[in-house]
Amino acid sequence: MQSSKQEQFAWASMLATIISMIYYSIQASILLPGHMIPLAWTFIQIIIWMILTHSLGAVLLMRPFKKGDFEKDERDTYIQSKANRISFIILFASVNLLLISLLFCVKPMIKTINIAHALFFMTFGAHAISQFMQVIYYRRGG
Amino acid sequence: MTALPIKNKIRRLRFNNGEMTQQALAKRIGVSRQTVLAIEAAKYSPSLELAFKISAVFEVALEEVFQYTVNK
Repeated sequence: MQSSKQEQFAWASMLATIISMIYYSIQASILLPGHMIPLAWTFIQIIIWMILTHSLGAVLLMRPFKKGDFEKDERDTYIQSKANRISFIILFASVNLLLISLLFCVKPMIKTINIAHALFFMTFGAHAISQFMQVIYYRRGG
Repeated sequence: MTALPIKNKIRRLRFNNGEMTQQALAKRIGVSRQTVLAIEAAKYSPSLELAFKISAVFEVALEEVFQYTVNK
């Protein structure tokens, strides 16, 4: 079955997000351990990367620029809402776990940088899960 | 994956309408070819509006395109 433009975009978005997470992991663990300021620059780089890849992906997938070619239909909207619901539950649960660990931590062992790492992986992870679920639903048919 | 209770005769109707392609049907009802494929394979139940659009393309009643099977 040939994939639709929206499915191709979900694949591209998922790959771009995974690459971002790998890049962040490398920067955080090997190159800049425990440094907030250089890591902030890494984060800005990732945001620029995400904007560029998503814009470029949208433009490339729109080829040959037929009118309505990239428009979502009702099945796309349905699949995206199902995938987003799952990723929201995961994001909600993980943020609450972080909150509990912060509030109930007897010793203040969690550094600000670790909270930043956790929040990064929660948001980008939730986005990757959403794209992954979309791909699965597209493969299944709906 | 459980089968949807709504069956359809889109494939036969396409065949009876000059072997209309999925792409041609998709264009007329304003969705992607993959959506037509999913509806035809009973993997996705279309909205009421889309169902009426499909029946309008084939100029038949809605019941002739879609059938609801009740599982008891």
